[in-house]
Amino acid sequence: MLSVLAQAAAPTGLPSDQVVAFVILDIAIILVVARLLGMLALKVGQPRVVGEIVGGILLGPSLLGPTIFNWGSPWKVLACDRALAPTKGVGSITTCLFPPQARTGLGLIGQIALILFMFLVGIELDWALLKGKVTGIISVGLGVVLVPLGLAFAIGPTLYGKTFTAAWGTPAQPSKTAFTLMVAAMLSVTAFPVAVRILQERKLDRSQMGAVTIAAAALVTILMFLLVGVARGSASHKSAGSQVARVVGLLVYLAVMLLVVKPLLKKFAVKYEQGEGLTGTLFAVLMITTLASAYAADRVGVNVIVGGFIAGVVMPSRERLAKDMNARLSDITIVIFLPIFLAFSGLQTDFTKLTKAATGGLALFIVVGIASKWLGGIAFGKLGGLSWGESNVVGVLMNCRGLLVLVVALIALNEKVISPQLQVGGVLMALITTAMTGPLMGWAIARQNRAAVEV
Amino acid sequence: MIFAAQDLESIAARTFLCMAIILLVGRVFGRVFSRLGQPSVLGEIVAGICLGPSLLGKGLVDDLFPVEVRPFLRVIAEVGLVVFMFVVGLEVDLASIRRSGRAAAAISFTSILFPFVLGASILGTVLYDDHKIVEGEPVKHLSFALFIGVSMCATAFPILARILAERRMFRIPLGTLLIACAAIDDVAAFSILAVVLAIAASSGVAEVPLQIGGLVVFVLVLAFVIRPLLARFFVPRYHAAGRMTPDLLAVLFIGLLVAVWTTHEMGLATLLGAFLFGAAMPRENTAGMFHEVVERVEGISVTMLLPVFFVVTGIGVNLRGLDANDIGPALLILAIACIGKFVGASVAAKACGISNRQSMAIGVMMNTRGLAELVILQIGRDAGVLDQKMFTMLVLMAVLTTLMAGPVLKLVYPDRWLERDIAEADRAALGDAKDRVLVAVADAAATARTVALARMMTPAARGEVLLTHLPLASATPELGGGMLADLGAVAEAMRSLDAARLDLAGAGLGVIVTSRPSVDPAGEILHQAEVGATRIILLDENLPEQVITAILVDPPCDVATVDGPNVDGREGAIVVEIDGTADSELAIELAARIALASSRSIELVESPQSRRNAAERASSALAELGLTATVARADIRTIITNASAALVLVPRSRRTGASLGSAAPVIVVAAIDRDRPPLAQRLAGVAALQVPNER
Repeated sequence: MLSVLAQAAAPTGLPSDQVVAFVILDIAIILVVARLLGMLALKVGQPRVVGEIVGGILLGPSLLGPTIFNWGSPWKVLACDRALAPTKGVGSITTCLFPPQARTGLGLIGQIALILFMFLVGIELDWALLKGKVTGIISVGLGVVLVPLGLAFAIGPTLYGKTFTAAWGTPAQPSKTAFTLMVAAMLSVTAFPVAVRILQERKLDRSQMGAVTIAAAALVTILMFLLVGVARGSASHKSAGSQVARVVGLLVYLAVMLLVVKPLLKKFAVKYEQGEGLTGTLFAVLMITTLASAYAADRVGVNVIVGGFIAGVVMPSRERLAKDMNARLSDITIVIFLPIFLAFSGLQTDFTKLTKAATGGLALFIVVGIASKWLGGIAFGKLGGLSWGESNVVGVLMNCRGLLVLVVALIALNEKVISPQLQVGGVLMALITTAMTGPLMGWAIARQNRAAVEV
Repeated sequence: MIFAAQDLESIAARTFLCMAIILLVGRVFGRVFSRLGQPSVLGEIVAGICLGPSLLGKGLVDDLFPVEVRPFLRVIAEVGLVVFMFVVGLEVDLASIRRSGRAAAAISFTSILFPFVLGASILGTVLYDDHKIVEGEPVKHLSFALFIGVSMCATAFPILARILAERRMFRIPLGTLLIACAAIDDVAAFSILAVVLAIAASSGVAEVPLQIGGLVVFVLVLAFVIRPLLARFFVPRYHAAGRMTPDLLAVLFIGLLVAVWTTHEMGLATLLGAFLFGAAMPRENTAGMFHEVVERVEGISVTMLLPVFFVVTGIGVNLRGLDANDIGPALLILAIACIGKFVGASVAAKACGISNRQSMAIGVMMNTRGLAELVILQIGRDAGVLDQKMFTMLVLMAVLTTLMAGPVLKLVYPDRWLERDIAEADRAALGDAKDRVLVAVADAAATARTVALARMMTPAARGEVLLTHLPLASATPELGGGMLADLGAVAEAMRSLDAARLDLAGAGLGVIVTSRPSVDPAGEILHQAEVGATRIILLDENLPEQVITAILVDPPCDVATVDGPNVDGREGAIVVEIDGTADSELAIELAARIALASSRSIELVESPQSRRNAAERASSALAELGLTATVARADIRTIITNASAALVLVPRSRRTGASLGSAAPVIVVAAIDRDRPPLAQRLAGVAALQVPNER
């Protein structure tokens, strides 16, 4: 499969050193925009991460793309025509500054940032804080996947039609089940990384509330990618056997990480556990583990996000390691590289594809998306034994879709299940749910604190 | 077009697997090489070659690192290199090059010129015919010859620094000289490379001045616009915040990336931009800041991304592609490279009046090519100047010259010569023996109490304090960025020690302050005490217990260890416990010194196991010096816990009793075992010191 992908991923037309130069320039641009918009976001009461995501969208085709800015004769220095020749792209600010060849490189660096970030999140998760909350977490985790799934079957028939379904009226038209499952997958997305960033910015990531949310988000992410796998299999008419194999693969992966890798690392780090400093070798071994875990997670279909997180969870003496690793990694990961990941998703988003005919359906889609996650989170959190206040905070954060929904939407688009319109709907949902998370969090936290005082 | 995100993620995932393999193999090789006494970086370089077609064969390499993943590896390697070259540039302190004087300039000049000329003329002529077609495109003879010349010039600054540090060669002037030479060579090699690339890239002669003019403008902008701007706006912000804030880090990175992109757009090597940007950073008051920057970028860029570069290089190297006909040229390249550097550097050193042995050591060390050479070669390969065979042979040369540096250095400049030169250099630095007190501290920020005691113990007229800071953190420097991290720590420590220096100098004492990261602090202290003809070693209690114990085994002079609560300037008497041993005689001497300096009275407490009348005799001897000394008949514990003592001096036998619950600082004293002077002589010495100096 890789070789086919490679042709898509590595279009020629630019010498490799030129590609590298573009990657360098693009990182600089993204950094400037991310810092500025991050600051702006803070000014208007949004988390910095929202600004960084919006920055990516501003740099993307929605604003600077060919529809609005058709750049007849771009500067020669950008070698636009040569870069775009293999893909027959149209010269615009976005396509010239971020040529397709460089985008793949950026995407990769973004992915590295992502797994390192998730690794740090995993390391910092404090099991002690989860004591007595396990039922709550499992309940929420299941709830915010099952409620969207149920509601998807309710609205699926309404959306199943010319506007939102790919290849409508042709033999390749997807079945109603496949379509509904894909919609369910899109509805059930929780942006694990973005939710954690918001918690971190509010300095809640080490509170019990934060730990519960992080654990629940991890569970949701795993379940959601399983759902994506099922939907994908259903769209491409895979046998039930391969669906089962996927779940078995996931279980094997988790078992190996927890039962084999974890004790091995503990053994390897025995001197570190006795108080010795973090040596270069140990650092390298931990990084190797993380990289390999990300690869394995991707192979079993749960995305590198989960791989990085699980690698963090199985680390030895995590309390001390979290400090050492943070000193080495967190600044460079969060300040320099993570904005690349966030901007990269925005770069892939094109709002100009939206049409009027889709508004009604998309409104329904988005309202159901918000209701299913937030209310689902509250209901199942309460059911699992969390307090109303806690359930509310968890629900609000579960509703934050970040741009992870784009990943799912792109999968659905590529499997020819949904139309570009619905994909844009996914993007809208991403923006709306992410932007509402910050303010809602403020409110939910204040409520929760008040409730805690009254008790 | 837009790539489907999940496709990208699958490739990304595969890339992660490749990176995991690269890291793993690189680490294993690095460990093996450092066991063999070689730099671990060299192991990683060799690992890269082994993961390439040379060992695994093309088929296996394609399975391991699929062709579609390679552009990604390339990008990762490049980003890692950009950060690495920035750090290398940071380590080049142009001001220190300027200070290092004519010898460094002369050695660098010839060690660049000679190999360049030899390479360009001999190799450039002999090898051109066989390698003039690269990937189907003809190469100009001039660019080929010039490029081969440049590839003879590189000197690996980081590896050289590492070897020097490991052999403690920074203790002699030769070490600093070599570092300065290597830094100049680095700058020069990359500058020449820029010019050569400009020539290679230009279609006609007319374009060459344009390219070089661009480079000159770039350097001028860095030096006269960027550097002052950073010094004016960036550095103060860092100091105001007290740490590297995310915004500052982002600004620094944006600057770096823009510099890199600019050099690329000017048709020069991207890495040159990173290097120059690092070299252009302001140096006033910034050691701590850059230490912090390096600490942050190291984890990701050096440990994770840089090894990928070695594999990218390794995939381009194919030893199997060489045949019997290539053995001659390969050996010729190696010979010219070694002769060029060795002769060029050591003849100039000899001419500058450096001894034979040391001149040869300089020649050997300058022949280390390491990473810088690989970077230059990769640039040449990308520019289409080198074909695969040439590339392979030159990489081989780089590895071999680096490999031979350590062992050959040991041969031409053996440890015993080094030891002798170090002792000589230290003696010269310390000057003639006076009444010298060596103060050893582990924490540069908490020296006030110990320094105050040292001030009182040292006679004002002819005394000298040697304040030695021994950081402990560098015991495991593997992840630390080698030299820069250590030097940064030293610079910071020196700043914190400055208050102590002023305190001592203000009292009219001679002061020498050093900060030496050492894996063996005890050995370091003993060495300094011996070389510096020290009278007393004063150890701070924040030194690790095992260091203090090691020093007390067989010290070359008297030792005093400061213990107890960290208070300074208490009112009251100096309490001395007398047990009749040589230790308590030393205690009396020190008490006399401090009492004279601070005009306090002395209270002598006789311990039960003391010989009779020891306290009385001491009291009358002290009275002769004009000091008030009373004898108390009680247990020392009751005296120091109840009475107001300013300071307590106890003999070594009390060491186990720790601070005795004292409210005042306690000094545990241990007298030298050999040739110990009698009490009368000790006190006579103190009296002699009191004679006002005529000067």
